[in-house]
Amino acid sequence: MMSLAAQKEKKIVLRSSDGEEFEVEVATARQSKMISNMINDGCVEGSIPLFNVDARTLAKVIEYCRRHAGATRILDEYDNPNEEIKSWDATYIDVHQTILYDILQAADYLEIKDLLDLACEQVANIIRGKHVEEIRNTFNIKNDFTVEEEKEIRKQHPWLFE
Amino acid sequence: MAADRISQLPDTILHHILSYLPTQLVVKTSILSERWRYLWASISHIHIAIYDFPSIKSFEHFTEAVLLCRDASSPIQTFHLCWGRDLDQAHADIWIYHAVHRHIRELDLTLARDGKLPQCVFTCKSLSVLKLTADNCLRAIDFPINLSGLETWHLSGISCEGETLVKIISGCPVLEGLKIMFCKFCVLEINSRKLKHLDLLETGSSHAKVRVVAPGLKSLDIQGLMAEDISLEHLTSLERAHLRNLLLNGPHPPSHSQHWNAVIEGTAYRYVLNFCKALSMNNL
Repeated sequence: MMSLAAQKEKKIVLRSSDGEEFEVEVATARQSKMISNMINDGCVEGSIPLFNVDARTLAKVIEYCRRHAGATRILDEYDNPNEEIKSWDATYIDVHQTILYDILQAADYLEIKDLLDLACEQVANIIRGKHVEEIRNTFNIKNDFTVEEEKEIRKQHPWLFE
Repeated sequence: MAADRISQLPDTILHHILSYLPTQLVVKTSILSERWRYLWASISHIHIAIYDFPSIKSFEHFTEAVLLCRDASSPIQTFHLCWGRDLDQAHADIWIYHAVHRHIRELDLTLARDGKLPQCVFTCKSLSVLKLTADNCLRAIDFPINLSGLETWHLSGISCEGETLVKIISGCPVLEGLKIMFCKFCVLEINSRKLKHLDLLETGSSHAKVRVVAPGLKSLDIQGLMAEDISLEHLTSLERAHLRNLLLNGPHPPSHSQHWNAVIEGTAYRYVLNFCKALSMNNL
């Protein structure tokens, strides 16, 4: 096992779905469980092609991984993220919906658990406190129920839809 | 119209998103569109609090509907339930019983005054996190405790009769984090190699006896502990200690400095100073 300092020195190359290459430190790349497994298996000669992540998203994801690399520095004595990193995360994830979904799907594909949690919680926060019609408008969800079907669902919990 | 990207996400991600929301809001999403209609039925995180409901009746009706109508093959990972004093105890017992038998990992209960905990809570082997908040009493337990998977236990606002606390803790062989806040107890005895974090906040009683033997303990936070006798032994792994407002209520206050010196033996040296400071400011 390499020391953290040695991992930082060593770099690997990630290639986005649209062909852009990003050189990143091993410690940063290891934030992704998928890439970490590839490094362990010795499959990182040349560049790693990431077919599901475009350059704009990959740049954003790398920004997160770089900040979170070296987990010992970002956890407090209870193994919770400290206030500084929490506030950094909040600013980082405050992005337009389209980028948010790209980050979410990239985090799922690359298996970056903390980033997936962060992005999912952000989507949940957008849903929170909105009326049904507001949620539909915010996410462009088309109501495909018939009038009868919608009536039936409303009947089950009348107070829920007041 | 712009694309509806959220509805195209796989169920696992949508469930992940919904896990951050209170359950009545999750159920509300069933009316968004056909895609969302039955998503709620297989959620594994259930959070229901009485203060989110217009009446007790609607709270009861909703909780029952969620537990009965959900997809029975989906496990319940976390069950957070907060209910008020007017709720029939039998209702709460059935709900908790139901959740406990769905491979539950985390149970977070805020009980009504005089609410009781059903026995099944203390014999649930799948439970990893148990949080109890109440304004009531945990009565003496006369059945065997088996919380063999419990790693984290938070207890708040509860009076523990006799040796109840000792009995429960001895039934948690892998307990790593214990937090006791605003609780009254007479005896707290912990003898564990597994325990890593211990928090005692605004807790104890004037005749309480506290004895902690925990060679694996990494962090210790004691604020506002009232006791007659405190003994902390073999804290050889301690990395961080925070001690404030220790109120020792023994019959001969001056002798406590000696007592404390004996107590802190075995504690990492750099914390000895903090112990002495905490003591001298408040008690000696």
